[in-house]
Amino acid sequence: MKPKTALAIAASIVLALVVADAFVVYQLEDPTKYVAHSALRALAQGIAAVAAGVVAARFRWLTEYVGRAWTLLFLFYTLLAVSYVLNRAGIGSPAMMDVATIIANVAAIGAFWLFGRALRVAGLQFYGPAVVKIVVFLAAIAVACALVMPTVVDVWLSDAGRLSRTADLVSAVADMLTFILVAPLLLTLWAFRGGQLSWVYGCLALSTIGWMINQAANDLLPAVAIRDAQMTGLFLACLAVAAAAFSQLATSRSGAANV
Amino acid sequence: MSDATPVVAVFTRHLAAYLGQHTAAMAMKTFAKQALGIAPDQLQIPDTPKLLDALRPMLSTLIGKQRAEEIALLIRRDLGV
Repeated sequence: MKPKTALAIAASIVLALVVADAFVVYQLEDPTKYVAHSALRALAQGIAAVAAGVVAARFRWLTEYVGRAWTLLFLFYTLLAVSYVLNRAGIGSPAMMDVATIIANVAAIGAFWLFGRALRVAGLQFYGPAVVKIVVFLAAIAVACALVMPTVVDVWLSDAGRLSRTADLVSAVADMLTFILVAPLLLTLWAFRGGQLSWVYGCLALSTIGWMINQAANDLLPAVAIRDAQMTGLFLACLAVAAAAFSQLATSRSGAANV
Repeated sequence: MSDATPVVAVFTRHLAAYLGQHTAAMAMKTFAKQALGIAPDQLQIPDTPKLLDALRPMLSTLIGKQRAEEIALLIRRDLGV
């Protein structure tokens, strides 16, 4: 299977999950609706966690540069999935959830930092004139601020407990940083265009765009569309990571490239 | 580019499969200068081991050590080194 096929399969699964959530789960009555909706979200996060874990293992976890990035992504999606399931099942203390949220978000920043730095660490450079690179970074910063600042302000003004506020704040800052780090991902994608690695970075950038859609849904869309947009963003983020993982795995196989 | 450098063509072909044509050419330029102090079109077959040593960390970072070693072997095979 080629990376293009993996991306097509991931896109099909995203569509299937969105349709299932909007037209099947939404028609159900609680508590079945609650369970089915939670199961779909957990499934998407679980797929991302397993995919990232497989790649991390292939690259010997923390031993290699690529392995470290995928290990952190595995940690992020695993904690996200586990804490989500425990939360929906009513198991686990709020403090435990807050700690998991903080660790998960720090892991996400680390993962995207490593992916964003990969080209430089490899001794290569982004392609194109400096002005293009500056514009891409400024655009990413502008989008990140526009999407996340309202949440940061809300958290700052909230009267929730200290740990809970810290967790929410770390989560918001992590969102902002990972949204900004879409810039080096896009520039790396452009540098690798035509090569197998472009699929990895393209899918990772798509995953971040999925989280952007998820974040934007609350602030930019009418109430009737929020839930569907949030779910679409989440499913896209998770399945794009799975497609990126497959593409990364493909680069490590002998005979991956027809040369 | 000179016809006397099948070395460039072989390296670029293997690298471009992963990095794309542009970045493969950039990598050749960067690492040929760094390791040997020459332009890619001046590369000769005896330069292959040194250039491979210079490229190995870059490939390991992006596609892992095992695949980097396999590509080095393929390049050696294609150049008969």
